[in-house]
Amino acid sequence: MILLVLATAMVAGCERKHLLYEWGSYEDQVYATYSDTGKVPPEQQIEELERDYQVARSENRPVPPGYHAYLGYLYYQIGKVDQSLQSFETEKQLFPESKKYMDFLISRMTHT
Amino acid sequence: MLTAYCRTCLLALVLALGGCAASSSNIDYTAFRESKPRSILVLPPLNNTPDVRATYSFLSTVTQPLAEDGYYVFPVVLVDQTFKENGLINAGEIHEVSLAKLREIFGADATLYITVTQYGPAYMLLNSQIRVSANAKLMDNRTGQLLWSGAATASDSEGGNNSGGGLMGALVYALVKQVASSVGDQGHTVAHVTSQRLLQVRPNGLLYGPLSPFYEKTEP
Repeated sequence: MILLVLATAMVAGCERKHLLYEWGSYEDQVYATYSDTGKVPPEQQIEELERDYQVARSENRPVPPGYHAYLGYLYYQIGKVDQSLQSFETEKQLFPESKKYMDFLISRMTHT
Repeated sequence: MLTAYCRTCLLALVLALGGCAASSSNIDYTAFRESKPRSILVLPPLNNTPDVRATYSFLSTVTQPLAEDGYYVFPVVLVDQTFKENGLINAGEIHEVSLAKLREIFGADATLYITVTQYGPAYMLLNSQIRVSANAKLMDNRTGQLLWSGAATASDSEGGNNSGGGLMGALVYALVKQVASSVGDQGHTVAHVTSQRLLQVRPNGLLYGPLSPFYEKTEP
C-alpha cells in the first residue's frame, strides 16, 4: 500500500498526461487469446469487454483503437454476424484510419 | 481484478519513470516528421528466444503505449488472423511481406517490426532474473524509409539487492513481483515494462502521433 502511495506521488510529481483511452481489460483479453494457461472463451471475453465499455461510456471516456474491432472478431467467432459487422462499423466511425481494413474484413464476411 | 489494478499501477509507474528520465536526443527525426504517420501496423514480433510464448506475449503489450502516444494501432489479433488466413503462420514469414502489400490490405501508414531478443530467466552468478529485451523499427509504408528504431530491456530484479537501483528500481521490483505471482507467466509482466520503455514517447523514442494532444507540440 505504501508502495502504491509512493508510486502515485511520483506520477503526480512528474507532470504526466492522463491516459487518452479507457483500456479496461482489452490487452489482457488479447493475451488470454494466446496464452495456453489462461485461455478465456470468446463468450466470456465479450462479456468482460462489453462491461468495460459500459464503464467507459458512463464516464464519458473513449475506448482505445482496436477495441471494437476485436469485439467484432469475438462476435464472429460465436456466430453473431450482425453484432460483428456492427462492431467493425463502430471501429470505423471512431477511427477513420481503420476504414480500409474494416471494409476488407466486412467484405470478406458478407461475401462468404 | 487485483491483477488489472496492479497492472494499472505498474504502467503508471513506468510512465512516471519514463517521464522523469532526461537525456539528450541524438536521433535524426527528419523522415519521421515528414512522414506524419497516423496509423501503425504492428506485425507479430520475431522471436529470437527459446520461449515460444515471447511473440504473442509481447504482441499483447504494444497497443497501449502506441495508442497513448497518439497513433491508431491496428487490432493485433485480427491482423495476425488475416496473415494466418493467407497462409502466413509464423512471424518470420510475416516480416517478409512487402510494405506495399501491407499498405494495400490494411491501409496503414507505417509498420512496426519488433524482435524479442530475450524472454524469461537470465541466469546470473548469484541469482536468476526474469528479463525481457526487444528492439523495434518503424518503416514508412509509402516510401519504405526507416522512420525510427530503438531497443529496450527490463527485468524483475531491477533495484534488487545486487543491482542497487535505488528507490525507483525497488518500486518496480515490488510491483512487478506482485503482478507476476498472480499471472503465471512472469515474462509477460516484465514484457509490459519493456514494451512501455520501447514504445512510449521519450528522448530517442517515438514522436507523439496525430491523435495525441501533444502532437507536434512537445519535443522528445
